[in-house]
Amino acid sequence: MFTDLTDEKLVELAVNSEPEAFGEIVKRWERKIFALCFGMLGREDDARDAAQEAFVAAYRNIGSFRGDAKVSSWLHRIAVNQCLTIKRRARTRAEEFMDDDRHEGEPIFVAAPSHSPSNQTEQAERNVLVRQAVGSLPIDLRQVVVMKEFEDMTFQEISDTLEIPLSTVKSRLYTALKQLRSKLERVPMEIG
Amino acid sequence: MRNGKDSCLFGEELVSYIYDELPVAERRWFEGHLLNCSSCTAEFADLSMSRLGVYEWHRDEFVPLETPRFAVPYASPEPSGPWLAAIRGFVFTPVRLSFAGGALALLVVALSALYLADFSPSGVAGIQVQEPILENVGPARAPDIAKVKDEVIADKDLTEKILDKPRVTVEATIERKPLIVRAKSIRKPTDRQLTARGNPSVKAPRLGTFEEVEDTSLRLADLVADIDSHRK
Repeated sequence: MFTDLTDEKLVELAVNSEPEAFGEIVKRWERKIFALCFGMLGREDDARDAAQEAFVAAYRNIGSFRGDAKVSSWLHRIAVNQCLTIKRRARTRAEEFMDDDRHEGEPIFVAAPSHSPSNQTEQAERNVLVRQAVGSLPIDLRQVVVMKEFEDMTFQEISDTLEIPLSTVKSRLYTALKQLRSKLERVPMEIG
Repeated sequence: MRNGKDSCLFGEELVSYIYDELPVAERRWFEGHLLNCSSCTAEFADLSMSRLGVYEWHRDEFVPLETPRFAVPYASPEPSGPWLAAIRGFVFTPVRLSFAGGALALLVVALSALYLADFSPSGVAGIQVQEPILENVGPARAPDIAKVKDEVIADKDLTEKILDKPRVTVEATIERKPLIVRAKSIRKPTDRQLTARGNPSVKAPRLGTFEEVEDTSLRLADLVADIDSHRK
């Protein structure tokens, strides 16, 4: 019913007469918003909660949506804010998240590959360390990395969504990868 | 080298090349540069390793996950936006905003006037109180006691009759006029007074301390009479 309409038109319909039009927006963006939340928070349950709250918040505030902005930008902004809220809440509860007790910028040390029992375990350990390293990045850098890797967006799409210049997207990604490399200095990586 | 600089500043191109977003012509040129530039090749390897780590994390932990079903409560939508946005939209139009500003200014003026009236010395809560004028103030004549006594005795019967009747209350209206207070004029002290103030040895005259002093000053009448007597 709503599949041929643009996001902006769907929002207009949802505001005026047909709230079910928002369901089509959820269907279109749920995977990407879930991926964004997963990349930002690093845990499935937290990502699910953040995405759920983001969609509910978007629907409640659909009347305040500015027509000059893109729906994707608006949804991403709400989702990132929800992620920050959940992370802040978790810090208040003194729970251990992605960055655990380590300080930002501190390199990660792991055992040599020969000490690990199997390749799968090594890979799982590497993933944990990468998740921690990504979680310790500044929010603007982390967001660009997650949007590129988890949402598979092009530089231009990221630029449009975040409403920042294309060159800023590239420079942020470059800086993020450089910082990740310094954080994962001792992590052995297998190519191939 | 680029733009005549000593070091390679190809960060953006490196990122674009890693993510395969470099146009074909630029990619070929950049691959040629990588073959000849060891610093760019080392940086490319570093960034590729970081990218690989994130890629593997995504592949292993996120891709297998199913997308959850997100429930949005359509039953209680707020299609017109939050109440604050609705109020904002209603009030913050230029005409309504100017009208609201004018009304606020009027309210402030009215409240200020009320406040000043409450605390002004001439009245309480804006009610002016007129003070009576004092006119023809003089000594009252003392009544002739003997005459009054006769009148009282003569009217004794009448008085008793009046006392037997119910009392009639008469309300008298007293017209009050504002009291006019005239300030006493202040005269300049004379030279003699000033001299007396400045000199402690000179005593100022006091009531009840008059002294009988013979006036020995020369009078003009006496002088004229004396001249006339000499002429004669």
